[in-house]
Amino acid sequence: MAFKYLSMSMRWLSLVTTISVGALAFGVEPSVPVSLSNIFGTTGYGYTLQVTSATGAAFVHDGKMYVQEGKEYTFKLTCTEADKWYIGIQPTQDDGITLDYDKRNGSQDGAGPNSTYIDITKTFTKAGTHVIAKAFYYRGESFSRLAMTTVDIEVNIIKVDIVKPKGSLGANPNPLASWLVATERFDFQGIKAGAPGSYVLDIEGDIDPIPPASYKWTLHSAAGTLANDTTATPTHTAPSAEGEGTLTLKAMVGATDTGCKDERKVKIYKDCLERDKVNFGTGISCANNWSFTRFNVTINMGSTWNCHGGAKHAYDGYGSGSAGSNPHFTAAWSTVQVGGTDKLAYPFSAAVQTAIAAMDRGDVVTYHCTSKDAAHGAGHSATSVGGATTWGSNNSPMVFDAALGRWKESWMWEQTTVGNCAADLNSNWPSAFTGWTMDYIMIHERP
Amino acid sequence: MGRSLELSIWKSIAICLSVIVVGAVMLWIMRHPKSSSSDDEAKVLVQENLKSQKPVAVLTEKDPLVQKDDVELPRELKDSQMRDANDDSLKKPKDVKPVSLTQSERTMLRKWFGHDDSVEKAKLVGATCLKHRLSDNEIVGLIGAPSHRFGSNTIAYGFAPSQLLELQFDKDGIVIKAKLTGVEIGLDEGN
Repeated sequence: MAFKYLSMSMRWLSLVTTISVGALAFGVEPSVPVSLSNIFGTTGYGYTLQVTSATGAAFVHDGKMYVQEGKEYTFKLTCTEADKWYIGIQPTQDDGITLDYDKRNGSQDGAGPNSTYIDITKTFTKAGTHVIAKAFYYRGESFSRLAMTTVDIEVNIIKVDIVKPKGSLGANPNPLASWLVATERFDFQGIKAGAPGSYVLDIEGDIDPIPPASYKWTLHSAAGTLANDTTATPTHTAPSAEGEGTLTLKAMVGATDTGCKDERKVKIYKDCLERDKVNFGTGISCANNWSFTRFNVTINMGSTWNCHGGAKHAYDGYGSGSAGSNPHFTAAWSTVQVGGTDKLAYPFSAAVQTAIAAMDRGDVVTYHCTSKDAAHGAGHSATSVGGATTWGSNNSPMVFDAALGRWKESWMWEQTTVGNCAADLNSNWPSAFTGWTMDYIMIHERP
Repeated sequence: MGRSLELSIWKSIAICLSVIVVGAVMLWIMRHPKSSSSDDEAKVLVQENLKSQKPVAVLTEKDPLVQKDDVELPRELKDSQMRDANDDSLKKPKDVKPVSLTQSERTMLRKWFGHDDSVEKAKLVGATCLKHRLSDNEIVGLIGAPSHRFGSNTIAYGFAPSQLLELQFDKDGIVIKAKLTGVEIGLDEGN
């Protein structure tokens, strides 16, 4: 209470000395700690206000101190002589910060020269505003208001935020918004240049205030390159090989890196198949309101993915995961012929088995019923991850439903072999679907 | 001659008695219209015939899906229904939801799963369930046991390889959404 009275009274009674930080000969300090020496320059003592942070950076420009939004800073006042010290963070009128007006050293006796007497730790959350770091002191063994001196240092809160991508490889947790519903992938996932369905990352930043700060983007070369890297929305170019790297947005003042930054780790996959396989994995449902947990976030999917829809998405990343009764082939796709036909009958001959084993990554196998071809096309499809092994949605073995007394599809993401899948469908389609037999497969080569 | 006259008199008496008995029976029927199952079957048959103008199968009162409300009935049947409506003992339980499936729709639903694997028919089935706001039990009663249940509010029928008709219900068990392999079906689809 006494101290509160002291604080209120101080405005009237103390000898107020407002010191411009710029006048203290501080340029842009690129990293923490940022120290303001001799803040009570008239006293002749070495009083220093030091700003430190384990996570953020601070800089001083044009007489103002800047700290980064969302980071935690500690303000410390040190002196070279035993003395009595107080320091406060005083909210400005509309900055929304509620904080005790001030805080003081518990010991009025001081701890001796070069001691840290006071520290205040605060996370600043409202960009575009500022607070006043008010340091004040008195000397002597007893309070003497007339001896008090204060200094106001404007501390501005700067926002340095990567808006897109919101997610980051390895973040824990990743935000739900990092999952892009329209394209069914995480926003920090890219595809290498030249692969089917290749795309570039959507990147956007937000720095406030501008000026004094300005944009500077960097990206590890393994994750591609950036153009227009001094704007809010740089242009990404995917690398020619898979890789990963850190995307960094730096707040610059002129040519000086202030140290205030935001980062995302992005991942470039060799194709959509690899990306989808990482996301959806195996052994989880692909039907109804299914969900999966990857990159420390659980994504709830709104609808069923069937085999054709999953195969299409694994090819070029398009579609909602549901396709009609035919996969996605265009004229650019070709089929593998064995013995003069691309309808490779089951049971598989040795030549067909050789063709299956020779499949390239991304090739798609379709499974057919001869009598249903005209009306339905393929009954099932899955994508080769190399050779005879295929992966996809609803690619799991059929299951027998005792209550129904027949077989049914299990609707799971799964990896299996063409031989096992063909045998399963050949055996169980007739039970599950009247009139359906698995007669042959086709191997479609990815363009 | 006397014998002939006596015979005529007895015939007249018999005819009169027959008329009286028949009249009494008809009067009794009209004043005691309590429905038997055969009465109802007949009524429903008339209704279905009036609506469809086609011969239809006889439906029974036990079937909760029989339409009864929206067709023009002969006067005597209307009067009969009016009396039924005023007779508390004949009222249906309140929890029976009135539905208006036509006979052809019922037949279509009953003969769909396991018999027709076309996408078009699956859309029609889904749209029909939506249109009539059928319940979980009604759908299972008509179509048969679903091949899949997802959670407590969704059933699904795998009607062809990699094709799934999904029906989602509200808390009262009434279908509110139909999807064909993840793609929502509109009310007017499949028609």
